[in-house]
Amino acid sequence: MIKKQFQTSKNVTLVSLAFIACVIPFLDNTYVIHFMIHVFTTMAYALSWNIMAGFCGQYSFGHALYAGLGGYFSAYLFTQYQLSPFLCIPFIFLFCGALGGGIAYLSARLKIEHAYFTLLTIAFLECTRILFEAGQWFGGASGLFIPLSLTDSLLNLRLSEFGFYYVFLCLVTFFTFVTRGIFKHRLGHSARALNHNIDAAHSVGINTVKTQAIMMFISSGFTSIVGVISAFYQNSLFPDQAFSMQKSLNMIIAPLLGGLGSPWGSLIGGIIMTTLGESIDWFLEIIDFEKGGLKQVIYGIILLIVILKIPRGVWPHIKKYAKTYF
Amino acid sequence: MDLTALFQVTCNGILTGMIYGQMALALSIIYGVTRIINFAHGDMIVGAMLFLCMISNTYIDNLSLHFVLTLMLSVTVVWGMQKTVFNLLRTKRDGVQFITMAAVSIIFLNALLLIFGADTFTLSAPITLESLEFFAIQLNYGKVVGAMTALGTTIGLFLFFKKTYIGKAIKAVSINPEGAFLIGLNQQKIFSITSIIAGILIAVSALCLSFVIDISVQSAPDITLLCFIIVIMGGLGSVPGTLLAGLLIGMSESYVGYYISPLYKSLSGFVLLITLLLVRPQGLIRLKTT
Repeated sequence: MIKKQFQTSKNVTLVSLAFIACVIPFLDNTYVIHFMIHVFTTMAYALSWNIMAGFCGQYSFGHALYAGLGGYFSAYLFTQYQLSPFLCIPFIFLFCGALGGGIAYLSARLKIEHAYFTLLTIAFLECTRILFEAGQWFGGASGLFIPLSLTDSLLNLRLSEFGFYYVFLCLVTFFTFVTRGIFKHRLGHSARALNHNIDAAHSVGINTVKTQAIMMFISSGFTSIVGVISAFYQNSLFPDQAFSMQKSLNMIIAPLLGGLGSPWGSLIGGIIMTTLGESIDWFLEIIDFEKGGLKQVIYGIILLIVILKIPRGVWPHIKKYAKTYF
Repeated sequence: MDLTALFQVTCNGILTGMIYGQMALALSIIYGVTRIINFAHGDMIVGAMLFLCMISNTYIDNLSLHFVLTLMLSVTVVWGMQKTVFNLLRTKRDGVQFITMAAVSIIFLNALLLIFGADTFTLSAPITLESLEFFAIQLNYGKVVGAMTALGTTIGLFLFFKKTYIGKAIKAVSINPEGAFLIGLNQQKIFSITSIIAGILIAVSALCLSFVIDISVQSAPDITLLCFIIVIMGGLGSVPGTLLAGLLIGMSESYVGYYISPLYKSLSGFVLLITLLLVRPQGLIRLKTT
C-alpha cells in the first residue's frame, strides 16, 4: 500500500517535472534556456559516465576522449563533406564504443583495476590530446570551426538555442530510460554484482570481462553522442579543451555528488553542479573579485565538504526522505 | 649517425631521468603506506618550487638557507595533509578518495594561482648558467648538480629502507598493514614519519627541478601525471623500480625530442605506460607481498 502510494506520487512528480522542462523555453528568457542547456549537457555526460562507473565501479578519468573524438569526427565530416551529424552518430557510437569497450576488455582481461584502470584511461586521453595538438589533424592546435548557417536545419544540427534545448532534453530523457532499463536488466545486476565482489560474481557464473566490456561500450558510445551534439552547439573545437582532464573531471563530479548507479542521482548531480557554478560566478560578481582561481578554490572546498559529509551522494538521502513523507 | 649527438642526447636523458625518478618517490611511498593516490603531488612540488624561486629572488643570496626554508614548508604541508586528509580518507571507498584528492588538488592549484599568478618563475642561482664540458659534450652544470642530488637522495632512501629499523617498519606497513599492526607497530607514528620523509623528498625534488626548468603554476598537472606514470611503471613502492622507470622515461623523452619532434616529447611516457600495462601490469620491479 505504502509502496503503491510512493509509486503514484513519484509518477506525478516525474510527469510534472517533464511538463515544466517542456514549457521552460516558452518563457523566452535566453539566460534560462542557456542555463538549462548547460544543465542538460552536464546531466547527459553524467548519465553516460555513470553507466560504467556507477555499475561496474571502474572509474574512468578519460571519458573526454570519446566526447572529443565524437565531436571532431562529426564536425570534420560536416565541414568537409556536408554529411549530416545524425547520419554520422551511429558510426561514431560504434567506433567510440568499440574503442572504450576494447580498453575495458583488455584491462578486465589483464586485471588492471582501480588506480591502474584510471591511469590507463588518462594515458589514452593524453596521448590523443598530444597527437591532435601536434599532428595537425583536423586543424591542429588552432582548432576546428563549424560554419554557422542562417537557416535552421534539424538534420544538420544548425539550430537556435530553442532547438538545441529540445535536442538535449530528448537526449537526457533517452539516456535516463536506457540507464533505468540497464538497472533492471540482467546486465545491470551482473555489473553491480561484480562491483561488490568480483571473485564472488565470477564464481556464480557471471562473465565479468564481457560485462565490463559491454558496459564500457555503452558508456563511451553515449559519451561520444553527447560530444557530437555539444560540439555543434559550441561551433568550435580545440584539442586542449576537447581532450582536457578538466572536462573528464567535470563529467565525474556530477554523478558522484548525486549518487552512483541510479539515473536520478546523475540528474540531481547535474542540477547541483551547474547551479553551484553559476551561483559562485554570481557571488564573485557581487563582491567584485576578478582575480582568477578563487572560483575554483570555493568549488573545491564545497566539493570536499559534500563528499566527506555524504559519501554516497545526495540521491539516497532524498529517496529516504521522500519515502517517509509520501 | 652522429655519435656525439647521440651521446649528448643520452647523457641529457639520463640526467633528466634521475631527477624524474626522484620526483616520483614521494608519491610512491605515500601510496605504499596509506594506499591513497596523492593527486596533489604535482601541486605540492610546484608550490615548493615557486616558494624557492620567490625567496631566491630576494636580496639574501644563500641557496642552502632558501632550501632549508622550503624544506620546512613542505614538511609542514605534507605532515598537515597526513594528519587531516590522508588519515580521514584511509578507510573510505576508492571513489571518495579519488574525488577528495581531486578536490584537494583543485584547491591547491588554484590557491597557488591566486598567490603567485600565472607568470613563469626562474631560480636565481649562478650554477644554472654555467656549463660543463665532458669529452666532446656540453652539459648544464645545474642539471648535473640536480641529477647527482636526486641520485644521492634516491640511493639514500633505498639504504634507509634496507638498513634502518624505521625503514623496515615502513616497508612492513606498506606490505601488510594488519600484520604490522599485529606485531606491535604504531601505525600513526609510521604514517607521520612517512609524511615527513615525503616532505623532504618533495623539497629535494623541487630544488633539483628548479635547476633544470622554469616553473609556472600551469605545469602542475603535467608533473602529477608524469609522476603517476613513473610510479606505476616502476612498480608501486619499489625505489629502484622508480629510478629505473624515471631513467627510461627521461631517455625516451630526450630521444623523441631530438630525433622526431619536441612536440611529441610528452607522448613517449604515455605510450611506454600503455605498452607496459598491457605487457607487464605489475610494473618493472614487483614488490614481494607474500
